[in-house]
Amino acid sequence: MIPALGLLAGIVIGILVRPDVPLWLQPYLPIAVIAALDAVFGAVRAALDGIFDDKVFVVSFLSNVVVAAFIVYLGDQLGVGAQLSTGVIVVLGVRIFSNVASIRRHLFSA
Amino acid sequence: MTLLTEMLQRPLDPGYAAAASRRLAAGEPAHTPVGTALVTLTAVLIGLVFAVAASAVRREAPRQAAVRLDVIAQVEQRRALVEERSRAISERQGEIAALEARILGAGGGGQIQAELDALALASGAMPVQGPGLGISLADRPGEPQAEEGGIDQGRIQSRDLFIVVNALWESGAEAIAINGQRLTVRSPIRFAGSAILVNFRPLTPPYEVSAIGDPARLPGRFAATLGASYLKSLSDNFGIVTSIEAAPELTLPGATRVNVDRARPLGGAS
Repeated sequence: MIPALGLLAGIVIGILVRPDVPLWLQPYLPIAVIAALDAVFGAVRAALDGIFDDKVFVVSFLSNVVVAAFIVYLGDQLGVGAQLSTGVIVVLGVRIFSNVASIRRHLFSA
Repeated sequence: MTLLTEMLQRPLDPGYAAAASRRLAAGEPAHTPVGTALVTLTAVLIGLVFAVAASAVRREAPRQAAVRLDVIAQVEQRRALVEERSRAISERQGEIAALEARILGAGGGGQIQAELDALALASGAMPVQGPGLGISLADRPGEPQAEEGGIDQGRIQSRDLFIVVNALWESGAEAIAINGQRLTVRSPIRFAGSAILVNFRPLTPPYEVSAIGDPARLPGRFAATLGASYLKSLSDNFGIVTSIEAAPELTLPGATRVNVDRARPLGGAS
C-alpha cells in the first residue's frame, strides 16, 4: 500500500515539478521507463507469490536501470544504439508480459 | 531456443525466491522499517521516472508538429510564388510579343514577324491549339505497395513518361505537354524521390500527356509504336490506369523557358 502511494507521489511530483531533462539523457528515458516497469511488475508478482523482498526490489530496479542504460550507452558509442535499445526493450518486454500473465493468473485465476 | 524458454518460464528474478528461502531459514521478519522506507523511496523514484518521461514525450510532440506545419507552409508558399512568377513570365512574354509585333509592323518587317512566329511556334515558346491525342496515366488504385527493391511497381515512373513522350514524337506529334508543362528541346523529365519533375516542376498524378498532331495519322501511328504496347503492358501487368483518346481540340501553354545561354550559331561572331 505504502509503495503504491509512493509511486503516486512520485508521479505527482514529476508532473508538478516538470524537471528539464538534459538532451544527453533523453535517449535513456524510454529505457529507464521499461526497466522501471519490469521492476514494478516483478515486485507485484513476487508480492502475490508471497516472496516479496525489500532489498531485492530496490537492487533489481537500480541494477535494471543502470544495466539497461549502460547497454544503450555502449551501443551509442559503437554506433548500434538503436539496435541495442531494441534488444533491451524486447528482453524487458518479454519479462513484463510473462510477469503480467502470472499476476493475471493470481488475480483472476484465468 | 534455450534462451527463449528460460525467459518465458522463469521471468521472475530468482533473487526473490532465494531471498525468501534465506529469510525463512534465518527466521528474519519479512519487512523491516528500513526496508519499507527504501521500497517507498524506490517507488517514488519510479513514479518520478514515469512522469518525467511522459512529460518529455509530450513536450517533444507538439514541437515536432509545429516544425512540420512550418515546413509545409513554407513549401506551399514557395509553390505559390513559383506559380505567380510563371504567370508573370507568360504575361511578359505576351507583352514582348505584342511589342515586337508593333515595332516590326511599324517598320515594315512583316517577313521578320512571320519568321519570329514560326520560330516561336516550332520552339514551343508560344501557346498553341489543335487536334490531337490525350493520353492519361494514373497510379494503380488502392494502397501503395513496396515490392522488390522498395519500388512500388504500381507507381508511374519517369521512364514510363519518357517512353510515351518519345513514342508520340516518333508518331509525328508537333507539340506535347504533360499536365500543362510544355515540352521543348530543353525539357527534362526527371525522377526525384517519388515525384516526377517536368521542366523542374513536380507533377502530381494522374499524368495527362497532350499531343497535337495530324488527327488522321497520329492515333494510328502511335498505336504502332513500342510506346502503345508499353502502355498496354503497364496496365496489364502493374494495374496502372491508362487511356488513349483522340481530342478534337487541345490547347497547350507555351514553355516558360526557351532561352539558350552558351550555344552559338556556327561561324557567328558572338
